[in-house]
Amino acid sequence: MSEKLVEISDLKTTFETNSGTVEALRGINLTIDEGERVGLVGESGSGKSVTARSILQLIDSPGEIAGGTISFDGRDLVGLSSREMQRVRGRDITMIFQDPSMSLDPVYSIRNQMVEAIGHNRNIGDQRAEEIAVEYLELVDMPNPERVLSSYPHELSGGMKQRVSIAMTLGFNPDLVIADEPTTALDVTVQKKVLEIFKDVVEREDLSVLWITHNLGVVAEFCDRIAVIYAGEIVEYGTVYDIFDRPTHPYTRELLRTIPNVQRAQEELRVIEGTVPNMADPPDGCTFHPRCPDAEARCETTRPESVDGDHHEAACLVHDTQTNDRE
Amino acid sequence: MESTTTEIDWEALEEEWGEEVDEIGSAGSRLQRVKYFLVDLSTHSLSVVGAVLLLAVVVVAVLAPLLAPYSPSEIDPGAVRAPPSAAHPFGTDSLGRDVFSRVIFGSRIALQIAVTSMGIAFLFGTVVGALGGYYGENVDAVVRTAIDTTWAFPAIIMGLALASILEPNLTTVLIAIALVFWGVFARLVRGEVLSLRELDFIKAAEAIGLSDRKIISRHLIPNAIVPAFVVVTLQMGNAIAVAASLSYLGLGVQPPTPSWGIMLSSGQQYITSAWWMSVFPGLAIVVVIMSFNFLGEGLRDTIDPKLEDKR
Repeated sequence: MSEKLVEISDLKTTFETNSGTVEALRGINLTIDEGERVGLVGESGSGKSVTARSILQLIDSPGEIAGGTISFDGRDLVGLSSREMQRVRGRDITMIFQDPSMSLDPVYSIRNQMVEAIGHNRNIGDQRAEEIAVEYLELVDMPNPERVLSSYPHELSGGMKQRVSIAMTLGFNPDLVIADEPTTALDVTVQKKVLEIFKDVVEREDLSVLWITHNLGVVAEFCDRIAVIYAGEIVEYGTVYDIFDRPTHPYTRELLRTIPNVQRAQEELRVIEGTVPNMADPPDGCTFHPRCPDAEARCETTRPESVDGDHHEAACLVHDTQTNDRE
Repeated sequence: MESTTTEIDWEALEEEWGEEVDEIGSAGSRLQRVKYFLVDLSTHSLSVVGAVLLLAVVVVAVLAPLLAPYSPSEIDPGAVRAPPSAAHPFGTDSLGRDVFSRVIFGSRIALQIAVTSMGIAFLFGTVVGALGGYYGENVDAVVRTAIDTTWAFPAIIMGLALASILEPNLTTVLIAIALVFWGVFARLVRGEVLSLRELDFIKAAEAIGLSDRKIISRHLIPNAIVPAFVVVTLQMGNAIAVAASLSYLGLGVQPPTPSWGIMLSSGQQYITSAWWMSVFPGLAIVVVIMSFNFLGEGLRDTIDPKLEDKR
């Protein structure tokens, strides 16, 4: 078993709003091993991005981390000062954003931005930083790095911009990359290409990745383990095979059933009835019970125990991974 | 900003045209961008008028000693309040000084005040506005209150107050004008920064560990500053008007400095008998303020494509 790189335990992030305290994360446990790729899957508003921003300590006021620990390489990030955290960001943990058209500064050339960022995070001079920039641009399959470096973001297509972002981010030589749906804003064909390139580079550099998405297909292709998040809680955690072959939590099952299947012609797209609950006033008991097809009376009052985040487990009163795995 | 520019997919282009694409990257050189911008600006006829007039004023100010037939303080006791003639094209004032030469030298004071006071206001306002917008909360509350406070005072009142505390001279005028106008820039930049900080590239800058100082100075201000450039041009005209008003009230630059405002006020009592004493400096003020406004409007229309229809 490889070393644990990130160990999040009982992470709670709350936002003070006019309608009361919103618990965006209600006690999350999650581990990421070194060189492991973990997918964090959930609907919009389930807390995926808040998890990412909590790890980086970039929660804007009125939000705050209300409890729990984020141990990274043996260090708890929650207690770090903002200056210490600044050093962790980029160097140790870095993030790739969803919309490539907005993640590069429009007023600077790519050279300017890559050299600034890489130089800053590696503590090296401009010339060496540029060499690294070229190296990583080649790594992400950019045909003419020199020309790309001289151009401005608006001169590049979405796919190229996202590859630049990836090259820049990986050029920092981080330990953990948080990828916030980096392929969602791209065309399907470009999506596939960018995903392949990213997978390639990550494997070559042996990086740990937290891949945030609502796209189960991408996760299946890319990740080792999956954490399914619902209403600020991880409802099921396991390997890709656990989740796809033996889904236990009714939410995971429902989620998998929403993937359109070309072979089995369906009359209409499947959906999960209802919406993500209002987190200012979450339902009692299991947060999924109002939408759950298997809900029993006890689900309305008893809150299931949260998952540990290191082996296949589901936060469900009715279903149990043990019996499910045996079937 | 994104939607108005064309994206180049080099790979697709390369397949189609082979090596020719190599030239595309160079089409975006900085010089070329400036050229495109100037071409764009020149289609706005009023802004060309403004730019040409301003350029003329700057040339006049720089070459004042060469262009003026007399020294601005040279007194000719034999020609007091003489009407315009070949020797004195704009006539002379009550001390027999050449109005033409004094108007020419007055351009120096006017431009000096406009550029310096707006420079201070622009720098200070931009930084303060960016800090308020980026940090929010308490910092922003202080910034907002400060902006609102300065906005509550008309420029003249502020100048009056300052002149009564400090000595009425050029520095006091500069400080007064900067104090009145910094809020304009602070408010503008603060608003821009508020919307910019929600964008991914600022979040990305945070996520890669850049310091606040770098994020503000390298990424927020350069992106927020363009509309402030337009406003600075428009406000320079206002700065000159305020400076002239203060001089007119005797609170600005002091005689014998050839300031247009002073000339205007001293010529006022002779307006029926020696109209040239106040009309020519008055015209100079009008021309300079108008040129700043024309140029500013041209810049605004060129920089903000959304306003195109309103030309």
